[in-house]
Amino acid sequence: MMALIGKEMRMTLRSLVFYLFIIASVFFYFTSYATEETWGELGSPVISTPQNVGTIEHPYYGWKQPADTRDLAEQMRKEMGWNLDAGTSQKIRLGFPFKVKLNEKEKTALSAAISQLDEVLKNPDKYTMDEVNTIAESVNNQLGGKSIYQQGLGEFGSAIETVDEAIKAQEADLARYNAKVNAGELLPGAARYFSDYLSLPAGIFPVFLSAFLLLRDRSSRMNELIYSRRISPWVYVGSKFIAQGVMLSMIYLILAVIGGWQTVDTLGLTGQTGQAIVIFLGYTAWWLLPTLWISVAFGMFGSMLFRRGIVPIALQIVWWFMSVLPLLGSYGLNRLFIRFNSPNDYELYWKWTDEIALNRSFYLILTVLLAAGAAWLWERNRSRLDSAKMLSRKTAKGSVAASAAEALR
Amino acid sequence: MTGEQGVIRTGEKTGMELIINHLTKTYGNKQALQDISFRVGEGIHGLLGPNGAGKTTLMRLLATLLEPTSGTVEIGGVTLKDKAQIRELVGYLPQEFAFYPGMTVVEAMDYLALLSGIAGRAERKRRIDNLLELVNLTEQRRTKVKALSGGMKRRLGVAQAMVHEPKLLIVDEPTAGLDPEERIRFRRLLSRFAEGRIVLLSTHVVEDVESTCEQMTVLHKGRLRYHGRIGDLTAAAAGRVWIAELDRVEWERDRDRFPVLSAVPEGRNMRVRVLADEQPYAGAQQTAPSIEDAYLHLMRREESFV
Repeated sequence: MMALIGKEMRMTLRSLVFYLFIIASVFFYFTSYATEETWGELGSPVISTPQNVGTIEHPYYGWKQPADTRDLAEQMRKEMGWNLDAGTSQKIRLGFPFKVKLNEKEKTALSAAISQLDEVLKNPDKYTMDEVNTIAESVNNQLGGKSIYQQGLGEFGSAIETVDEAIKAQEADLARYNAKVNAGELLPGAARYFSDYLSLPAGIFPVFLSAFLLLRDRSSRMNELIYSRRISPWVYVGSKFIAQGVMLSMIYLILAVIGGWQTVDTLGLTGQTGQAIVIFLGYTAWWLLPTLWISVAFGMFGSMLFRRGIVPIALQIVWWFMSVLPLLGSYGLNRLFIRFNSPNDYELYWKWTDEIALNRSFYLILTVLLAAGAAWLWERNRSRLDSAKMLSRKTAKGSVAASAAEALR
Repeated sequence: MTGEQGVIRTGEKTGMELIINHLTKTYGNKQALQDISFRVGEGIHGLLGPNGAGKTTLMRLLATLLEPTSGTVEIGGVTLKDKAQIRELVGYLPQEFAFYPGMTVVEAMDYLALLSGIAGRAERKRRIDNLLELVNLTEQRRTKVKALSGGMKRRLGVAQAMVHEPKLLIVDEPTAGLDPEERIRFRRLLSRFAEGRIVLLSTHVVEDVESTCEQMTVLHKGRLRYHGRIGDLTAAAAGRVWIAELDRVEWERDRDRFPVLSAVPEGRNMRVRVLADEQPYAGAQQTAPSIEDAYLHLMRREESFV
């Protein structure tokens, strides 16, 4: 099998789509992760004289995250109040935000949450941020999920309107950064950010290769030569699956090494290159590769099931859109890739690790099952040359009779 | 000669044997093969029939590319249901085939040898070198398959079918596109390979059958029309093949009266060869039928029955 895998890998190197995949992945790396904006987010916050970027009447010194329970509860209450007054709220549908009308039950839920927040604001020191977030989660559930009250989907930050506030916000940022560094979360945060961005191409581009991998036998008119040989379906399909998975994984692992090295180099973290590379490789292997391998397996399985490459591609595109939002905090088993679009928020990450682990494990198992399914379908189709002809003729001309006549040759 | 009950046996050789028993294949409501039964021993066996006779369907069934609707097949004692074992025993050259784009001759051979289960690299190299030499493609070993001529591609096709040294070699129109010299070389190659094996040779070229096969099978519209020795087929046409020399006016007038086997202009006259139960023209003389005459005689008779 090793010899066959080697041959399949060499054949992958002849595929133009493979090089397009490399270009797309590298493009995503340089335009999403390795950018000035990322280095600004990852680097130490700079304490400087705040600049008013608004007007004299409406000064604006930037945006701040809620600093304490009071801030969070106040912003949350404001948002809920606006929603209740307008009678609408925002939800994510198939990856896009939509304004939806609130029904009476949902309005009641919002009113109840506002009352709870009012209670919190009477004595905010008695409550924790988590407890306030729980109120938002409860509203999210009653709105049917995927609302702006879902953690990671909505934010309850506020505009900074005074110099004092701006200085305090800078100090808070620096304190958070130092705490992150002391907790050893700087590089893992960067690796999560890297994996988040690179999961976007990993979740879509491999299927363009894999959906035609097994159909190529027929399109190249080599199918009769292959199907009549003694090769077992497990070895044949398995070697193609492994070869393509390995070739695509290599690109991501190389990008992980580059990412780790470039992060350390840009942030000036002397002597941490080795550690960074290990961390980047770890997150890539655990977060990205299951997405990539499931895309390969799904393309192969779908192409064998429908005998058309375009069908699994179309399905994968829908799946991708369903997984692209929210940017943080939704890791159900239907999520094709892990979104964690923040180099910070490591407390949230630790809260969600079990969910993420379950998602990744599920996809690993599903990958094996789909690859095995592709092998089983390949073997079934192998002795059905007539039905393959039937199907292609039927689709092409809408005539079964014509295919029967062809098969009579 | 045709339509016998049960399995028709030709050749009394022992060893490798192909036994087809009441084999039927239908596509929807079309019957591609109808109740075919025959038995073939070692050697080259010709498979003849017009387009749509069911030859390709039969070969695809033997190569496990199709499943029979009913009936059984045994190859060397292994039934068609045991596909894995059958695939070890069978080598197949389809009528139409190609290779992955970008593959060179030696890469294509090596890939297919691997798929045939020849694991050792040295062993694959040895077999591939031998076969490429046999089919006269050694110089083209590094040439891309798509750059080969039609004849070279067919030779490569034959080589790939032989690489795992199958006990039953099925070749569909192997000489199509070959020049006369290549064709002769190819027949010799098949004859050598057939020692201790069965070669099932499907062709439209009656000459290929005449010069390589001892026995043949004729299919027509999915039915078995003849299975037996070539000599027996020609014997059946004896006394029915006539040659005559006619002037052109006479020829134009009578050309549709009898099935014409050949018509060659000779000065003002035409030298014709026709099939007829009785003397067709004054002065026509009987001649010994060739295998082509015998085949056409059989087909003619089939057409008149159908």
